Amino acid sequence: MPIKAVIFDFGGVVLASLGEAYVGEWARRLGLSKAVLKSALWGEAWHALELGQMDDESYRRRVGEALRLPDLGAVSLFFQEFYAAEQLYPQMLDLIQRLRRTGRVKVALLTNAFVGQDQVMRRKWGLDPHTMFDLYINSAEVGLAKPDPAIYELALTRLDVAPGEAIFIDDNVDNAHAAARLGIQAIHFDSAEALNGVIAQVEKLVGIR
Amino acid sequence: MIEAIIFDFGGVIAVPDDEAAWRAHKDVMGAELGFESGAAMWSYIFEGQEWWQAKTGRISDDEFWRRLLEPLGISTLNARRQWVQRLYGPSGGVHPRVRSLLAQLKGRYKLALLSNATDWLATALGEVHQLDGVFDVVVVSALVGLAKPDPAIYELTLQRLDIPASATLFIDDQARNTRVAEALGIPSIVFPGVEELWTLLAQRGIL
Repeated sequence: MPIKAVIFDFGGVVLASLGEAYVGEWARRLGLSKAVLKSALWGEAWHALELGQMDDESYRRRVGEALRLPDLGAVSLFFQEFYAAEQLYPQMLDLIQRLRRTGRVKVALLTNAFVGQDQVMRRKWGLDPHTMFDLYINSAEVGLAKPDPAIYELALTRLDVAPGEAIFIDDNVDNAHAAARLGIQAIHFDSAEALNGVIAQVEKLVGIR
Repeated sequence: MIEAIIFDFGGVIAVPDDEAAWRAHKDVMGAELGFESGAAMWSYIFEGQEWWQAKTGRISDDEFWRRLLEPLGISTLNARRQWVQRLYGPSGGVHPRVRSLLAQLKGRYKLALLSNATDWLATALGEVHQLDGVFDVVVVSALVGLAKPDPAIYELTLQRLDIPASATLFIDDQARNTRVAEALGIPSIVFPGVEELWTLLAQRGIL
């Protein structure tokens, strides 16, 4: 079946993952275990945030409490410093542009994120997901999050492609599995070393290599 | 002030009277096809890409069942239709207490049906379920190419009702569907059971 759509995750795929060592280093700096830091950032509160059920300020308050930070100002400062290390994969941006230029496939971003992620992307990276992709689905805006099959189905419906006609790339193994279960060609990509291989794989599947 | 009520179909209007008997029936039918349980058969039917294609109207009801049942050895159209009829036999009908609930509400509220279903439901609604004329608005996912919980299908339903979200009430048996509706400003109820629904609507002054 010819490929008609390529669906990207953002954090960990277009944006390089911060990595376990980096998170561990920050946990040490904060005097907390890595598990506590991770659950503060990406645990229950994050899940509510990505479903659009919690606003940004409440989320920051919850993170502040879990990290024992004195106030919201300190939380903002922490976020600024913590996420300052984030870097885009230029090769992925290039792949996205090349895929779109072929005119043969639609390119989508399917991201578990927060309301206003598009503005952050614009401010921080100069990227506008609404123009950079044919389709931008932000979990918090639709009230559904990966790995719920419904959000993949939503993407397929809006792209108007069958599951077998779509490639999906995610760094989260559960998210990749859920897509594969629906019949989407899922690629689990979670390490910088695999970058070139994954790009070559996508190029081959789409037929531009 | 509620002006319209939006009903899910399967699990709300067509709901088994005896949950245990329904489960046992699915277990038996599943075992015949080699599934270890009715639940395993259910997930084979409804968790694959075929169901997405059927409920968004990309394939017809007959084609949906062909793709699922042919590999299991049910190879003729007639045999498949009979099998599906037998499968839904003990549950597929409209629950009598829900039918009378709809009759109570009819005329006092606009009524809508919002169902993830194949094209079959559109004809079955009148021919099989005798619900002709009950609903002011019928939105069957396969006919509109969208399915719950896509926000777009709720918006379409509101548009067809021509009533603002806040003046409607949505009843569905899946929390995920009501959650997305709530986010769009549609007051929602996760179906609590037939008698419980009567009570709940009475408490809210709707009945």
